[in-house]
Amino acid sequence: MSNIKTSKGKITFNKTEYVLQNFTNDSGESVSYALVSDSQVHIGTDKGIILFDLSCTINKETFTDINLFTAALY
Amino acid sequence: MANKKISQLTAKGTALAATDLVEISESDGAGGYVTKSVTGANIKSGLQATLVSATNIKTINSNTILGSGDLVIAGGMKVPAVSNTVGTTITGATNAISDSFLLPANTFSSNCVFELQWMPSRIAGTGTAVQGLVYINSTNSLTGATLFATGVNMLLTGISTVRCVRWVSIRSNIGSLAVTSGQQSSDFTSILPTENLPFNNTSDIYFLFVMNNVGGATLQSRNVGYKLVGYNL
Repeated sequence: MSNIKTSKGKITFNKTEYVLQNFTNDSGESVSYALVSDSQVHIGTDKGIILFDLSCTINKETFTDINLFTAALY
Repeated sequence: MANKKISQLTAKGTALAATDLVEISESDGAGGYVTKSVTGANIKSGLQATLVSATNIKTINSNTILGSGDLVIAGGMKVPAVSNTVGTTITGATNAISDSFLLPANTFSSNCVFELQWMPSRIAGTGTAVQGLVYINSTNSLTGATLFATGVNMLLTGISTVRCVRWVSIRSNIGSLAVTSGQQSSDFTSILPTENLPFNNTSDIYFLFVMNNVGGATLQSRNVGYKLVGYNL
């Protein structure tokens, strides 16, 4: 199980640091994230749009709800 | 010459002439040998002549290929991945890998261009849209993967297929391409760009062909082929 470490607008995953930032969704809106499914979310970062899912922990905490998972990243 | 070793003979000191004679022992085919002579011309006949660039060996773009070392061919087209494989069928309201391929490290340089084509197919079910997405990752896994492209919505009920295309320019391991989150089959028209796609080909990169059926629980779809063509610059 991979862990995501959060830190003031940044996350670290697999030894790579990502700066959280908005991206343009398909409706032309600037968003910080977009839910993909009940267990997956697209997160906007400086290194592109990254897919995370509930198989990841956030700061070692396990989630079963993608909305709570996403909220914990910010 | 009797009772002399070869090393005691006078050295010729020059290249073998066509008229020189050399003593040989020819097999008689029955375990014995017969002493005969052959000429220098006999020995040289059938041998490859000394290679002289542009004379008896061709050049490549006017460059000699004689000598040691590596001859780097820049600008040649590479086709590191092409497939007509029918990928795994993805069923239900999910977003999962149908097919993938590995782009081995150093296939492309830090500055290159390539074009990816892939063909997602909606094969059954009802609901709204199906999309064929592409992600890249250092492993064959969606978790932590970077979105590379989002195919156009496939709205028809029943079977439908679309060929999706993305042209990518890589400068110093960073890619520019059509906006990765935009649903579209191609980048042939003016489209918002993505300018920050990491693409460091000094490591392995997996291309993941993902079917998104979140529009309906009965939807089925799969990827049915792909092609990656590129050039190092």
